[in-house]
Amino acid sequence: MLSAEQDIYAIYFLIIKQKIMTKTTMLFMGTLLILAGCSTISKFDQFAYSQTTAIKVDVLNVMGLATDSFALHANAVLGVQTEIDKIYEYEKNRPKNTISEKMWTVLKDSTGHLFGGFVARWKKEGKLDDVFVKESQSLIGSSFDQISQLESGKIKPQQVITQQVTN
Amino acid sequence: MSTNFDQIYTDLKSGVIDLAKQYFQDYLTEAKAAGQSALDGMKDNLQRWSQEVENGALTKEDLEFLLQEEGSLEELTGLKQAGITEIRIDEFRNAIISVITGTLTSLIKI
Repeated sequence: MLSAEQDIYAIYFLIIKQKIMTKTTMLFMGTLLILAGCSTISKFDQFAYSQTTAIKVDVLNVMGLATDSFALHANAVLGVQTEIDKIYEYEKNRPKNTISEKMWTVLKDSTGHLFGGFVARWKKEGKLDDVFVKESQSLIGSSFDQISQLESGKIKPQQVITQQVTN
Repeated sequence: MSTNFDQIYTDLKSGVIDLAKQYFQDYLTEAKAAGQSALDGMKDNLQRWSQEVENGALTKEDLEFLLQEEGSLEELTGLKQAGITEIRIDEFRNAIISVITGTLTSLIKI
């Protein structure tokens, strides 16, 4: 149970004890409980954050190999794609996590123009030019930053508790 | 003991208004800064890529791909901003609940 909900329940029992439970107080407390239970977005997840930053490093490393023939590094690419598929499945199944899930979908889409599209182009053309690879690394690195910045901005469970205690 | 909830609503009103100003003013400042930073980054990229096409370091196909890549990055930036808006709403709601529970706790003594 969230700390806010625990506090509201504590006050609820105090009101019962003080015998001041009227229709107004019941409605008021009910509204508070609904408010406390309805977050709009998932809370911070350390695993999701760590995986995002770790996969970013692997992705940029494997992109750096794109000046070589794709066939030489097909296994390394597959390894990174598998890591992305794993975190995508994890994100997809977190409640209230539609935005992060959508971000991973865009990033890995092989018909798009981020990592999925980059790999598709590398595979199609055999190898890619150095300048193009470096520019793509910069953009795709920033794309990973958007995902990790959203995750790190999410409310940490201990933040909710601290907020309740300090108020 | 009797607790006047109309009075509580009145007392809380100014606190909630102050909270709203604080949370959403901060958010507006952040959003403006993020938007400006994205525009600046895009402008720098476009200038550099144009030069790289001119000097032959990038092909037109490379440029076309990079422009679409940039568009996808902007899509992710927009999604992140939407997520941050939802986080701010949650933080605002939690702050309101804290103010209300704090007020009630001080009014209802054991």
